[in-house]
Amino acid sequence: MAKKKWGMVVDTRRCIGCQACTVACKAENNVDLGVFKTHVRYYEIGTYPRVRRHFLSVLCNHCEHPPCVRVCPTKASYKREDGIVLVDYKKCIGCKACMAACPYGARFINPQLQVADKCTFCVHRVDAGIVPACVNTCIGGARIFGDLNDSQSEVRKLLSTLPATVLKPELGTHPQVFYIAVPETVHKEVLEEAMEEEEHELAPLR
Amino acid sequence: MNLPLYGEGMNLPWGDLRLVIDLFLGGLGVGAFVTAVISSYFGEKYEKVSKIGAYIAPIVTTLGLIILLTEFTQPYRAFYPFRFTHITSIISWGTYLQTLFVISALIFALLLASKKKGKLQGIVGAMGLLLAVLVGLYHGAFLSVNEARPLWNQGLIPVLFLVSALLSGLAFIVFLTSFGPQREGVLSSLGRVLLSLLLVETLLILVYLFSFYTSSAEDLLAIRLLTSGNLSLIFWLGLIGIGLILPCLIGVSSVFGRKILSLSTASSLISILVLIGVFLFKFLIITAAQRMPLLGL
Repeated sequence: MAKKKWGMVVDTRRCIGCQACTVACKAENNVDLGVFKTHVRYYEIGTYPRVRRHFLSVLCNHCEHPPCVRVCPTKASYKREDGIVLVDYKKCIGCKACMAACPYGARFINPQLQVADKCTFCVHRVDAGIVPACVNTCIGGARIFGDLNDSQSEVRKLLSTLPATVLKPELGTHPQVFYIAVPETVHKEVLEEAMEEEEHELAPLR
Repeated sequence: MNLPLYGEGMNLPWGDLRLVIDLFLGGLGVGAFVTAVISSYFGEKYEKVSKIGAYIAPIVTTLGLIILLTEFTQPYRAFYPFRFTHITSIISWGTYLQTLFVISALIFALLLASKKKGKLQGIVGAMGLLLAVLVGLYHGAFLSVNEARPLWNQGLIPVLFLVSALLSGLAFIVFLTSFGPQREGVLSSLGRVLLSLLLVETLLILVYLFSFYTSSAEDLLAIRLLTSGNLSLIFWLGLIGIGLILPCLIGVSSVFGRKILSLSTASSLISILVLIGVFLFKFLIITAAQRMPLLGL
């Protein structure tokens, strides 16, 4: 049997932005207040009166070439053979280099363990043969998880029938989380919105 | 800040001043050591300069490293990069480089203090010089490998950090020598080197800034964090005005123009301004790059 390579497809047409995945992840992984392993981001595109609100599920992209693993000085961040990027909590020195390196902002310092942490694709569940908590709970079926090497898996079928994109493809990280029906300008839209917030928020300093 | 809701605040890895202070002190140590070694080649006239630099270097570098340790969430695991060395990680290299640099700076200072001039001092000095340059480059290199952060992911960043390290170390020594009695010509030649380095740094910062305007849309947004964001006042007035243009003007006018200020006043003034400028440069680069919002969590 061919080696497994886990991946996820987020079909944003089916996402209603209910944050059920966020809550399921928090409950499953005991994620602290103020930090997230997954989250649904809202953003608006267009100008009035033609505006739309979109939802974008974000999580660790489990990149094929993960920058966080490359910069880790102690090999605490590593990539498993099946494609899941994990943190060895016992080796992490908390230098935060991986947080600076991740283009997706997926990492944070776990407030309890005081080491770098992130989405694990619910590795404990996957190894036991069940899907991640966020996939299990998604009410619209927007998150689909499976083996990218298996031609019969649902993720593979979706990717071979529908056009899918990844986030920030220009960085060459080759994410294993794919998005269906995300506008190509998503990066620019989210960035510009966030920059406006940033400039507005910090205005008093001027 | 609305950080819990959108999680942007959770991804400010080095959000406070500790890394800035560490890199500033580390750079100061590198610059002081380089000044000490190079001036030791110029004979007995520069002995005092050489000693000041050699004594300062290990102290400030160690101080910087201690402040860096507080940045780690698991400081007692700080030796792990030796145990689990990761060849692709610049920080892993940096752990070796900084340790070796502090050791050679310490040995060099002890050799100078014991007045044993000889082969050993030359070897340690030369080795330390190489390590100092590598550490200076490393201070920028570990930032510039992050392709996620446009303000850091520039080829010029390691060079800029090296030059500003040399600048700050030299400025600190010039500041200390500008008081009290001094040998004829020492301060003016140190001042000229400082001014030349300052002009190089100004040029490099200009090239760095302009390179963003020939780049992608994301880079254009990133540079706005410096030029028009909430950091713009510190950038324009602090770095460009007080840190670069003012000392350049004072320096150029006292070398080529009429001497309004005495040599020691001019050089102490320039060195303070340069130290402020280098600190602000490191602060701005480190802070602004982290304020760049990421797509994602």
